[in-house]
Amino acid sequence: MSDSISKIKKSRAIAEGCHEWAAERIYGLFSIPLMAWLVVSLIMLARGDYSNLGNFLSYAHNVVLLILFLGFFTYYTSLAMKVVFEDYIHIEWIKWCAILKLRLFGILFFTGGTLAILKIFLKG
Amino acid sequence: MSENKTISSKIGRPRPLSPHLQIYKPQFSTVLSILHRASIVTLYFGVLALAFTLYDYAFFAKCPLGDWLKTTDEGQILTKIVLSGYALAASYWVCATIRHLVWDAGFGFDIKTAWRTAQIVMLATLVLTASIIYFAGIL
Repeated sequence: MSDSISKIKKSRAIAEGCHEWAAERIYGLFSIPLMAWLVVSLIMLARGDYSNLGNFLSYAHNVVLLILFLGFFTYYTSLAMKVVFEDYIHIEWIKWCAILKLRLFGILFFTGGTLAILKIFLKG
Repeated sequence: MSENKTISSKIGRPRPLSPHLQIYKPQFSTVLSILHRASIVTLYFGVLALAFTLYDYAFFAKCPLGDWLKTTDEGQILTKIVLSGYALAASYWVCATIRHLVWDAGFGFDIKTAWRTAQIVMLATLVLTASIIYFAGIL
């Protein structure tokens, strides 16, 4: 009995699952105000309060918030997608390849997006 | 996992693992839960598209897809549909995530409150989506 409990405690589900559960909630909590800010900003862009994307990203606070949004939201949605893959892909190697691809895409799009934001900011 | 493999080898086909969408009768709560997941999956592709758009704006002078979306009729209709969809997904995601966070904090589990919050989420989503579409002038 105690042997099986120690086995469970050592399992990845307990070690990583709890951490991911908490991370999903914390990143979700931070993402809500950032999402509200992004929607309001996009509406302002659409209504012409900023002349274009370059003008919008010439303000430092917009740059900081957009990079934060990209980072938090990419991480949050990637974690959620990982859970979906874990639930519905039942062939082990395909599941792990899919999750690895998620992580690579997350890093790739976050760094690419951040680089683009900084370039627009520094140029303008 | 190893136990699951032995059982499946006995009955000759893989057993369903978690959320069995096929066998449960859909209910209000399960449908909302599935929609929450669907909204996150939609927003995942949305954030990738946002990063791609920024990259495209910063590093490429001309984007054929962007031009097509802006100049042709079909492109503009497609843009409106996609943007309205994202307004809906973002609104629903915000409302449902707040509901889930309240649950995680330990409140609102009884059936009556869960029903009430579900109705509030649906109503708030509609109001938010409509206001985004109206104020952004999407339609």
